[in-house]
Amino acid sequence: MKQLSLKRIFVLAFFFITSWILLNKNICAESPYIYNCILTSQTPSPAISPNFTSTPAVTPVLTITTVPSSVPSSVPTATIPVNNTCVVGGTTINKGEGVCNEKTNTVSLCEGNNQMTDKPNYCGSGQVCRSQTGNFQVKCEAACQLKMGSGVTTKADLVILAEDYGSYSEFLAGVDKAVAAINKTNLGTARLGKINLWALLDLNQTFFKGFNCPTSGGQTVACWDHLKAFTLAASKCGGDSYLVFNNDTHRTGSVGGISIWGGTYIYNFALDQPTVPHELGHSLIGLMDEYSFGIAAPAGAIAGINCSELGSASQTTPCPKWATSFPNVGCYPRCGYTNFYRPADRSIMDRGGTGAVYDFNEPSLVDGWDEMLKLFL
Amino acid sequence: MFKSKIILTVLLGGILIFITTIYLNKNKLKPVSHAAVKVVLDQTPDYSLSLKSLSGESSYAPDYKLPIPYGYYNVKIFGDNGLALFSGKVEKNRVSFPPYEVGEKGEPENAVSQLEALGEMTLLLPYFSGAKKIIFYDENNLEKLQVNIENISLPKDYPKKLCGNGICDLGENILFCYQDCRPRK
Repeated sequence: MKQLSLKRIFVLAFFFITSWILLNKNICAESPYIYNCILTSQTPSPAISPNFTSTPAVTPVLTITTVPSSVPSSVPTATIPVNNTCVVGGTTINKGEGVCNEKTNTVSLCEGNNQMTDKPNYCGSGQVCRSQTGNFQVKCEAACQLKMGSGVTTKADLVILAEDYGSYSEFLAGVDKAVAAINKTNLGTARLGKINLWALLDLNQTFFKGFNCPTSGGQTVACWDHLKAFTLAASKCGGDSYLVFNNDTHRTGSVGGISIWGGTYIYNFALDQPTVPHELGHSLIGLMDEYSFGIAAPAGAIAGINCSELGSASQTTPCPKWATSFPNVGCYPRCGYTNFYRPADRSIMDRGGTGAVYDFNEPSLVDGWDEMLKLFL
Repeated sequence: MFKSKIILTVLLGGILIFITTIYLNKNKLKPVSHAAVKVVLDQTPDYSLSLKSLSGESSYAPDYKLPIPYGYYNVKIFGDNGLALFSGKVEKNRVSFPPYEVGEKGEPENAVSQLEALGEMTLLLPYFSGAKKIIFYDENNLEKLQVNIENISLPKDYPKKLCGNGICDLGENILFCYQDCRPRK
């Protein structure tokens, strides 16, 4: 009797502890729908309605067969019935296999009897199909591909969007160049550890709006749909900011990238240059350009973090605004406007082309990047 | 003996109910995964705000933590008893920077930073089941707009399955969704 009640206590304790662990570990939590918990395989199997065919009734007839005296030399090969295959470009594929159109995220699925059916968004919400050379098994992957960082959502999330790329591999090659350029800067592992860089696999979006777009202060060389890009990056991957990579379909001269605060538009040809980290300096931190605009600052012009309105006694003496915080910087004439001063002779916020460098200067790193990243865990 | 068994069972049941209650209340303070309140605002050039549309969306939401150097609104979401569930910053100006030239050229054209008030603003704010209102404040903490969100509900297309989308959501972990929550560098 005593053993029985002990057993019951253990069973109850087991349920109690299990419930406690489940609740505390947040398993199956957050979503108001408990079915969020149901595990699903990465590659969903398509809903195929089974075809039932009746088998004709056969009257059994007894026949005497002779046993062959010799063993056949050739091994028979299994043949797949035609009603379970389709022919794609001269290749026979099996029922359930298919071809992915990455541009439209549509799978042409073999239904048998040489019947191919287009299935848009075949992989379901948050996933896309990937085409594979020489393989017709349908492959599904996450639409948000983490290309840099840990993926922890409390970090600064940057999302790269594709425009006018023909395939994911072409787009992702550009993304890899961007990651390489970011890693080449002096941001260092501590700062980069607070950033997630995602690539959104969606080739069906356009953002470009036109050249020489009018603004209140004149015009900009090119413009794009910021609202659409930001909303897409935020809604699909939780992005805090975005980068549109254009596959050089809307180039304008030697412009490699254009930024507004909160987002940037970058041309594919410029990904081998420091374009991506330079533009992130604008769009995330609000850093100013340090190359010459060819004009003096108009009244009310903002010097920002990396420029100073006031000069110092010599180029090697810090400008007054940096004298206390950054005693090792200088004060070099020209920081965008010809009458502003910059803290270092060369930096990534200076112009591209020959002699372009990948390093941010000290005020940009500390007052810019560090101040921004300290808000992210 | 029988009496003590009943007491023990009732006690354990009570503890379970207590923990569940605490857990459910705690959930009200956390945003729902992959759900957002979409707020579309109209802003006049003199920075007056008005609500254009409001809806519950099946969508992720940004953190709205970026420091904004060129003018912003503080946005806060409040729940029961005025409890602040969320706080963030949204930009109110569009700031254009000059283009980045990678060729060997002289000074670029239109190479001046420009600033103008945004017209329409679309925000995807985190969805809390117990949220009551959203308030927008200017940089001086003066209230600019208040939006009631008590009646905003999750959309019908709210996904039943999030595992496999590449993002380790709040309700997922390494055991139950390895593909999204596996350790990455």
